[in-house]
Amino acid sequence: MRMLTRRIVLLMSLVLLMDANVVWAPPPDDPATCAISITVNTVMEWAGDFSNISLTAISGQADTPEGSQVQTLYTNCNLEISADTSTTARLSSATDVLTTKYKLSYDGDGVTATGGTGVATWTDYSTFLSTASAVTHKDTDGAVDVTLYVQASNPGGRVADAGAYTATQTLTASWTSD
Amino acid sequence: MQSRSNTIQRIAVVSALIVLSAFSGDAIAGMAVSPLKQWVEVKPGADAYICVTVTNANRGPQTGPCTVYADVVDFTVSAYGQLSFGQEHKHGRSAVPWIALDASEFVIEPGESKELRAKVSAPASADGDYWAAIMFTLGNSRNKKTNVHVVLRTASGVFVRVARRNYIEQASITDVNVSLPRCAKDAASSSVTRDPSDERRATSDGVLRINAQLKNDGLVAMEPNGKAFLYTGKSRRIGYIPLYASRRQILPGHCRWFTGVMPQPLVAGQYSVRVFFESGSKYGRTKTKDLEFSISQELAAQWAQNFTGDDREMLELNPQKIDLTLNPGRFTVTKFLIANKSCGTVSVRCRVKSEQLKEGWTGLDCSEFALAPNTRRNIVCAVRIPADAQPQDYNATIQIEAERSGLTEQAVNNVVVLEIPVKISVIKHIGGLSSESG
Repeated sequence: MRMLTRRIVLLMSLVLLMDANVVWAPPPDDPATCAISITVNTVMEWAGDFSNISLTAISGQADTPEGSQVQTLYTNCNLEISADTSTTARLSSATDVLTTKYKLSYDGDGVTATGGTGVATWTDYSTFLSTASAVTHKDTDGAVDVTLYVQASNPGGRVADAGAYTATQTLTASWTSD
Repeated sequence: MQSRSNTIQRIAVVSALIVLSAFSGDAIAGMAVSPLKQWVEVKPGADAYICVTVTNANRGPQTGPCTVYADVVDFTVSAYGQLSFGQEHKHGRSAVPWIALDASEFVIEPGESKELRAKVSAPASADGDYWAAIMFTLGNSRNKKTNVHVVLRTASGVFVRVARRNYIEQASITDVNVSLPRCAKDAASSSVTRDPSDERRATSDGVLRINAQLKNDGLVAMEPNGKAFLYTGKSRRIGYIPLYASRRQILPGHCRWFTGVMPQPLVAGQYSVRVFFESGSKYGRTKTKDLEFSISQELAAQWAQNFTGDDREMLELNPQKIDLTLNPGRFTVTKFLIANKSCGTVSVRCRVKSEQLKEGWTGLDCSEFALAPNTRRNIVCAVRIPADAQPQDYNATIQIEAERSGLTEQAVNNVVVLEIPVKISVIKHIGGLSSESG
């Protein structure tokens, strides 16, 4: 009986020693892995030189000077652009106003490249982009050039007062439908 | 002594030129805003915090510092889905008084980002959804005096839910009308109104339009699905027309116009149309409204004569297949584009089918929606591979079932089912990562 007990104790010691060897053994080779996760949020960036639009002087009743400005818009989502339709967007001096019209274009059509259809015809400041212009994002094309055009002319049937005329146009980019 | 004086003069001139060029305004600066909208949930009487990141991306040596102005402003959404910003659009569910920004004006150097924090404090009496926008204005263009100076802004929407309970969506159909196609002589005698706000009421281009306005009478935003069934005078259903809206989300108290377009001609006779709106959530109820109209012999003949058929492919998908190579634990998103090429509205249902992918591995940002004629929509598919996923190839398909508007009793198949095969190769080691389209 004592012999049997000794054998059991010996066997248990061996098992423990084997386990200890397993515990103390160096870990097996395992290549280092690192799972990287990243979520890309919707991003919209206005970028450009922000040189504003200067128009040549009006020196005749029929003169209609035009100017334009290009802004690059970086985006990874659909968005829409609206404009200010208040009198702030109309060229005015201290005493008079000019007929002020705008157009907008994109270098992409929203199908083959990021962009949209824009506003192709000269539109009075009071209705310009009153319905926002949709910019559709196309995968892997994260930039679109937005061109804003301005046209000034004398009010119908007369010549505007002499002087300097200024206007401020505000373009607002915002989220689109869900 | 003379040469020393000349040297000083030259240095002064060069210094002046450098200073002038620095302020000449030719420097490039950018203002990247992310995200463009976000939801935040806050308990009544409690605070929550949101962040918007503004970055001045470094695009080379010309990039200069960027001044940014941030304001919290009200906005409203018109019945046609147009956003309007500003104090004049203040409303009863404005979150403007609740949102405090930690900065209202700051300068970002090239390559720098600023995480703008906003504290949202909901009053104890608040209940349901409230909204406002953080308007970021690029400051560089503010100081110039030319003929037309352009101010650039980006709006980031903030939607606040003050959840006191489970909300039941409540809505009512406030208006339904039918726009019939015009005869050629009508079209020639009057110019078409192109004011976009009247677009849904316009009667042109030889199609039938069903317009329905839905009002959100509840306390939380809703995203309903709309459709219309056409019946003959004998109450026999003969047509199906999905309804779309330019902005599907309807905020509490707001109305939205939905429009359905059907190019297929109807014969002369009496018809009725039943408009349905189903709630986007499980707590909503279906709303219906009926309307009757008639088609004259002359109009039916003209319509049938002008109808050129709609045999084009209903949908166009891009890409045709999706291949992803990911490692365990990876989360990524991939997009696919669905374009409606038909002349009528189309309802679309998307789902991911797979016996190999386990639940929760994939998710679509929108599974049910309607597309207007010749419009398209990006669908985002999120893929999350669990850390304990077995390395192997997993195959799935994105099934897209679409039904276009049209007469249902003719021998014309208005339903198509398309599939985009998806192959996700899960590999264990980054070293083996070969390519990924996500």
